[in-house]
Amino acid sequence: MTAPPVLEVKNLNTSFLLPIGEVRALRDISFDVRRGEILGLVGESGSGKSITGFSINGLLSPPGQVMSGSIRLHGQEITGLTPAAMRQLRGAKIAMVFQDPMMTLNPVLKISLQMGDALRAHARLSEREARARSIAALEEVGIPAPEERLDAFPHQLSGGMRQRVAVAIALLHEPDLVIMDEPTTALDVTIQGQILALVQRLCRERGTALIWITHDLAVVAGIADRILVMYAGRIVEDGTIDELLDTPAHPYTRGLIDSVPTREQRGSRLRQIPGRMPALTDIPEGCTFRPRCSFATDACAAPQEMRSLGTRLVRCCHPLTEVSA
Amino acid sequence: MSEPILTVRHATRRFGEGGDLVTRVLARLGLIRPRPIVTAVDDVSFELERGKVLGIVGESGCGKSTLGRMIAGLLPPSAGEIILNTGDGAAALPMQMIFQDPFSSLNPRKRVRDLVGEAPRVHRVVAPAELENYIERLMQRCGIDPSVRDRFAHQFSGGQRQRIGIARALAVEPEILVADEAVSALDVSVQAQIINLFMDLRDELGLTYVFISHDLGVVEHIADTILVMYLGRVVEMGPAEVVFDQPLHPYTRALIAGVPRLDRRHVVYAPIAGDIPSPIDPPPGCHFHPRCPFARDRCRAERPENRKVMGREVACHFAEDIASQKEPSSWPATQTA
Repeated sequence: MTAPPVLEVKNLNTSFLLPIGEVRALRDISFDVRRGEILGLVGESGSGKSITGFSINGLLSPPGQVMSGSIRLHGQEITGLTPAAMRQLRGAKIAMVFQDPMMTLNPVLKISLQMGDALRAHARLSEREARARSIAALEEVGIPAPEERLDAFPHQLSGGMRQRVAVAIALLHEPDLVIMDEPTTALDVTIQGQILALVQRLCRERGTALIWITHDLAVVAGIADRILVMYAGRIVEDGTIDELLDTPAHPYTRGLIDSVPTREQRGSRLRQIPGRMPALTDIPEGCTFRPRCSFATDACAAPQEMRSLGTRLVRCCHPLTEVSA
Repeated sequence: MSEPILTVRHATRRFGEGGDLVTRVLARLGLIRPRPIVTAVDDVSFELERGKVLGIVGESGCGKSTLGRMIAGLLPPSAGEIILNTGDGAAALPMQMIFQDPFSSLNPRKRVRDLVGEAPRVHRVVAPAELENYIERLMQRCGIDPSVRDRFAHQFSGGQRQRIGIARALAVEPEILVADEAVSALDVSVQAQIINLFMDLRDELGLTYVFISHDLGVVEHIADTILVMYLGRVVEMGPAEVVFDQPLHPYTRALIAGVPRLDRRHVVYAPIAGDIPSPIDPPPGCHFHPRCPFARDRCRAERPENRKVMGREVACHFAEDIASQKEPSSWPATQTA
């Protein structure tokens, strides 16, 4: 008997209630994350990957709203919690790191105050204790001369440093679940490597469950245990990193993988997916990927259910693994 | 070997020089502090053959965009020269640029027909009677349905806008295109479409590209020649397969090792330490020495010149040593766990 997952999401539906009507941003999202697991949540703009993160963390603001479904943290339902109760969880049990560290950190407050606030939101600490813990946290994320940095303003730090500070703040209370929304997209390659190394080490050491949201399959290929691929508000494939990347079952996953330039096919044409993702207001009936899919048949006009293929799940009536076999 | 279409000799660009008369006088008198001078591009030389793709890579602040703008003629070099050898004046405007952000590089008040059609009309690339057909052909060629020619830029997605930007650049029949991070803002599946469009256009029109990107995967895919920059200087330059298969400069090695790839799974990242230094006050000697695991005293004092080593140019005092050495344990790399 294994321990219950840190996070269980079941049949989550999130919508934006706009004057033009209900726009369904997430449809029937189900997955779970275990202790120490790194889950890659991959999709293109508008696929709903960030909204998934926001829904879990209770950061949706009107007109966005979780319509139905359940989100359980350590078995406890958190969808119906009051804002005050949610605030107790956020930062302490669930933490989030965003793409742009300049927008996350308040530009007119020193790092020390921002870290101190985050610390004292969930723990009774004196000024001095808060400072000591902040210094320790900055040291842990590899910031040189943390005492001095603590008295700096965000704009005095480089982008990589700012993102380290954001990671340090997220990990202050040793949360059980960390959601990272494109944390390295704005960073340079060598700095991205540093953040990847840091997050990987900290999560493995502490057994933190991590959801890494990205549009870049290659970034999560290195660190994730499992990948969810999202398309137009739905999860289309869910599998371990090796099976999903080596033998993608959903045509969209296959298309994404083929779109990444690699050295093996230097100079040749990339196999591209024609067209683009439909707007959420204009989702096709049946399989949402059907209009762009080169494998589409008449059967694809019917709504697609998640199918189980051994250890993975795929939302496709004729998965590629069966066609080629 | 054909005549190079583009020759860059000792191109240098400094920012913050001069200032107006009052500033200069006050600075001379010691009444105000002189403005810091940033050498964004420092003594860059290369030649580019017709029909080839040059990839310029590097991280923020390395000067790749400044170099691109100098090549495109948008910025004059502070020193050195940039020579275009574009045939017998056939091209109206031999050099065009494509920008990163398809949202801010298209005038939001203009319709597609004007965005694409204005330059060829003004420069008389086509007869006025032919213009409509010309615009239609260009749009079709770049994968935009000509029936949307009366729409405004905001009515298109990012990928579509980038296609409009490309159509606009092609409208004056250029020979060289400078693409500055032209696919960086796009989603993966759309990025692949635009990369394919770039390659098709090169084959059809014999275009020469200067392709600037921080994304090594993209550059490796399309470039014939790679130029790696760090803090304004070229650290390594050579044929793409030579540089990617056996990078010699420690920075190039760190960059290539740090690129996430689909076939690198379950890795333990051991990245190169340190931040990119400020270009206002770059480290002396070799700019890379504070982050370099191979750095010795000579690197701290003496600027390495670009030398020919194993089929490429590299600016490192110890390139031969590094080539023959096995990777030291402190070497930044990604290892499989």
